[in-house]
Amino acid sequence: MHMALEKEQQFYEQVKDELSQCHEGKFVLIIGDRQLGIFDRPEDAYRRGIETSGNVPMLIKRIEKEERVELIPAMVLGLINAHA
Amino acid sequence: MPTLNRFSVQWQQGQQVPQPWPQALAVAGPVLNVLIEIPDVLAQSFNNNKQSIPTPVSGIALIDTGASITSFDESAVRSLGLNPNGTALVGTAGGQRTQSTFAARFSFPGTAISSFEHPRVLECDLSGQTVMRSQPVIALIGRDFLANCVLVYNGSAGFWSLSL
Repeated sequence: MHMALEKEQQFYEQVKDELSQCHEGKFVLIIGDRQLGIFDRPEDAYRRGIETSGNVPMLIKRIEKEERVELIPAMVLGLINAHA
Repeated sequence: MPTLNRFSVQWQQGQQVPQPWPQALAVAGPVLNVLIEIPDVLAQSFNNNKQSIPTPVSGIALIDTGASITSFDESAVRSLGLNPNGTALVGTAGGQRTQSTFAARFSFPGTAISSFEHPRVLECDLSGQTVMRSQPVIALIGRDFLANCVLVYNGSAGFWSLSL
């Protein structure tokens, strides 16, 4: 994971259960340790993040109890590499 | 709905018209030129702050129906100066790992397909992946993008088409 998002990810883990009770399926925007809103679409969250903070690392996370795993067979087979 | 049609053909001696070449499509796969740019909202922010907008990155995209998410080569992401906007849990050869995602705009130059703003693209290392006379592949177009499209792949006739 990108080092710049560690703080945001930690914050999300703290509030995840609470958020999933009322906002399952929506998108939360976190910059640093601040939650900047809940959105229906990730595009809207990104716009808010750029408008409020500019081009900075931000965490836009779909609120869900179990995170979906993305699959790229070429990566699973080791033909291409994931970037840490 | 604009449609892109791509035919793999070859000219054979003595033939007046090109002949279908399914083997070429089988080797290269459904590939096309791609141009990757920063998202509109970010360009607007750069303009407002009188910052220069990074030069778009061009290369080859491979349509990868096996991939659940679209990914761009890390060099393209780096050269556009994009910051991560999220994470994704990705299955890799070494097990599951968390990867950064980015927002980006991309288009397919020379086609009627309009540009597409994608809120969540994965960054990965595509270095060394080349097609058609060593052109570098800089994007894998996954099913998240294809969810908006009609894709037809006719391997035996050597053509494919994409409508968006």
